[in-house]
Amino acid sequence: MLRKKRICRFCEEKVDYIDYKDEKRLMRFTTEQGKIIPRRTSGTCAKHQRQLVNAIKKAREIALIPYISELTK
Amino acid sequence: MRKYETIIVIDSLLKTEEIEGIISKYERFISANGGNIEIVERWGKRRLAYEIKKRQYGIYVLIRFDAPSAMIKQLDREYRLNEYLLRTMTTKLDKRALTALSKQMLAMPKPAETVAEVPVPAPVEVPAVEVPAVEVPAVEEPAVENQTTEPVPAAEETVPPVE
Repeated sequence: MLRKKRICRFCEEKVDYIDYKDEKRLMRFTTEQGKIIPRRTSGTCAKHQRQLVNAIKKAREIALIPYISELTK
Repeated sequence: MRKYETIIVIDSLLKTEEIEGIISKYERFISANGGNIEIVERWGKRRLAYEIKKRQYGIYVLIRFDAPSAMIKQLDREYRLNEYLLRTMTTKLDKRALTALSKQMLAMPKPAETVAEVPVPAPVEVPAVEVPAVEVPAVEEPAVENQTTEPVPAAEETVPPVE
């Protein structure tokens, strides 16, 4: 299946620090259930995905974003 | 001395005086133990992403400070003793975070209300707003005005786009 070429959104915006407090941005990289979207789907580059994952996990710890969304409970 | 950021989530069912009391207690703790508080951000009442101790809402407070690394353990112990804190997290700011932070500071000279904005668009917006305000043909004048009205770090940023 041919898909549109994905570009890392963080590289596009020249982001060099992904803030764990920016929960709206982080939510865009999680599924409805609250799972982290894999690199192969979102197109995020390795460097940013690593940062993103750490940021998401920190945000989960302080209840900014869910581990599992309410819908799936 | 390293720069840290700590987020505490306080039980929202407490009275405002009690909440302020808790916040000032930790402010005092940090400064009494060799810390140097840079900013205290009150995010206010927010819905928790999941229930903690049967609570749906929490009061979020962020404190950014410089401190010797030995103090963090003590601070953490203090946190554990307080049962009205739903969550706490202290993180060391790494190199990337520090550069992002300093960029943010340059973009907006008042650090009072910096609610996790993306640091990149902010510096672009500042000159874009200012340039149309001044008349276009007068090239030399706006540069002078910018320097007088803006504080020093912001002036450095606004001058290059005008030229």
